Amino acid sequence: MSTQPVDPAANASLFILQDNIHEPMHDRFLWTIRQRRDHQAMAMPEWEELRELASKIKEHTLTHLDQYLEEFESNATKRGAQVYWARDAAEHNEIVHSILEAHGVQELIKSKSMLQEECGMTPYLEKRGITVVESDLGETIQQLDGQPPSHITMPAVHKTRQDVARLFARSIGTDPKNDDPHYLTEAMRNNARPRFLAAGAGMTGGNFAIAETGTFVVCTNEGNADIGAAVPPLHIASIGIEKMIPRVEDMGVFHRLLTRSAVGESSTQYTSHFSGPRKGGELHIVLVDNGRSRRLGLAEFWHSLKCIRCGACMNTCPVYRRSGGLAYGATYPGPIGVILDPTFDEFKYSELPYHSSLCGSCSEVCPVKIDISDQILKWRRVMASKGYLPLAKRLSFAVAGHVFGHPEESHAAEKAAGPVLGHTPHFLLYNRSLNPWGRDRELPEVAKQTFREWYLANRAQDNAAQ
Amino acid sequence: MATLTKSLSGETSPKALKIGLFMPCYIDLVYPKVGIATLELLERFGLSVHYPLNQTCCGQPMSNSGDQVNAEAAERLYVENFKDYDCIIGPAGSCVKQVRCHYDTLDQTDDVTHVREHTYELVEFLHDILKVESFPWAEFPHPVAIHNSCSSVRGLGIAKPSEIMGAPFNKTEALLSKVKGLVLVPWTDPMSAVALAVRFVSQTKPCRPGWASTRFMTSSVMGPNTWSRRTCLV
Repeated sequence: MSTQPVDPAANASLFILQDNIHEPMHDRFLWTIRQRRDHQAMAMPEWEELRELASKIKEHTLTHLDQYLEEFESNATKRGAQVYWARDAAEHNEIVHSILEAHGVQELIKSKSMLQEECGMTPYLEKRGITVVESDLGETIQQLDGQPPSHITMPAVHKTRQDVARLFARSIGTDPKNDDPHYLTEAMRNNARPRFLAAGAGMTGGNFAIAETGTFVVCTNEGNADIGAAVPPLHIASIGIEKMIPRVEDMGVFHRLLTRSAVGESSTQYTSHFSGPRKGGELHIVLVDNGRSRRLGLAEFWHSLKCIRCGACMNTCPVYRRSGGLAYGATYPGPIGVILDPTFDEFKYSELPYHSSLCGSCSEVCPVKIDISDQILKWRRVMASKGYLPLAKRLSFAVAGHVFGHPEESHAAEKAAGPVLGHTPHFLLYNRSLNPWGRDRELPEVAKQTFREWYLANRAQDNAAQ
Repeated sequence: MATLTKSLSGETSPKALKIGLFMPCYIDLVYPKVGIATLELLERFGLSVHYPLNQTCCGQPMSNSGDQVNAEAAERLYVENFKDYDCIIGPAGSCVKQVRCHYDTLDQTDDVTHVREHTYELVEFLHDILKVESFPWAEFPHPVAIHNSCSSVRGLGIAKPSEIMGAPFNKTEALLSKVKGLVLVPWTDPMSAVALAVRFVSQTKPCRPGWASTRFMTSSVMGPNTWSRRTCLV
């Protein structure tokens, strides 16, 4: 348990107030992605049917997870892979380290994996003398800048081209004035390629794990997972236990939904199915729980395990688009993060459920129909019941809760509110620490005559007749 | 998470309905003219509308923060005030959504279930229950763009959410299109409330952005008098 909850609103204001470039760029870019997703979805008459099907397949799998996991293990083993079970992040990291150690691997190439992020694997391995080379471009940018990913599929989406040019100039010696994406990508490619070729092992995540065949599927746009899996003789994959799907044919449903939802393209550039080790190589699969089976037992929150990590909820979220993903201070940002992160640490992430307007767009855009927005409200109920509401809210709600339950007091307060608000000094109403919500807002004026007063004056006889 | 209300049973004539007027606290205090216009509009249809004087707030401010303990008294009071009405009508999407979707922590007694299933947002009531065909008295010769609130769209299903594929529908638009002289202007850039504001101000002098559809609706279908009254407010 941490001592201080993450303050997403304060973090978001750092992002918004840094200049007038980053936040508008971020907002517009992600909205463009959302629009591209709409165009893709619109072109498929069966879109809503697919979402329903995907949701049902995931629900079925999650409610029979023990069977499918064992089926996957047995089939993957038959194909020559070694399967490990990790109860938590620590076990995952130990397993990975022990495999690397047994093979004398000093340098590892990995493709972006949110699960490895969740387990804090890179710092763990680096502390033990293993060099971890990231092969995803966005993730590399974040690693060079000492930041975690700010988006689950576009890790550096909060950075401008100029930011990347400055960062690469600092770290790999490119021309700081040249922010041409082709130039920068080429420079990074030339810098990274020799290290990729020298790595002793490759690590990937897994987007889907197929029980029927013991196969797992990795989707990337850069082919970076494939170089890690194809060049070094040792391939280790970390896969969350919720990634199971029963049959190969189910991939047809998820493959059609994933990339359209994620970036508004019909397919990822590379979709690789790994069924056992390649000739002369080794394949190790670590199946990771890390709180997932506990989450599966939470009646109100287990649906979050259906997530296929497309990031559509982030692209659509008006709060995420304006805050930037780093504001959430957690592995998973955005709406899905708001409902996943508290399962890791309720106190630390107690403010996250309030970083939402409850507009509901995330639930409707979600390709597997997770009721994200409803779960955000339910997490607020959890936080309030644990006493994690800020003091100002706790006090004012206690008063409001009482007053709204007593009409006579409420109407007396209403009568008083007009004059009080009218005479309360501006600095008090909009004091930063007393009322952070007042910062960029003005209260509407209170009417001279309330509806109730008007009604009593104009329609009271009707009411008497009731 | 659009939820469905119960439609009224059988052949009940709307005029025989006992209708309770639910006035959300912020409308009572800040936008009373919306309340007046709502009442007058319903009266135009010959409905028998009562305003229970003991109402305060639906509990949304507390409930939205997850504070069910402090929301409960307001929620119970709402149920008590409205349990005997056939229909409860309120001119605000989020407050109606609060009653319908979020009164789920109260004991689900018959009274609670009844008010949850019979509380309607004004547009829903006119469109789904009253099935309004025309507003013969109303004329509003202006271009109008519609902004339905998130709660109305995704919580109550007043229009098709933009995320969902399929045939579009928009109950607010369907009603406003029955008003003589009113021209619906498409709002093509939902990103830019500023663009909307500019369009509003440049085309229709008295308009301001950010109006809930219902507030606009009541103003426009009540005719020019209410309209000018409404505009004094903003």
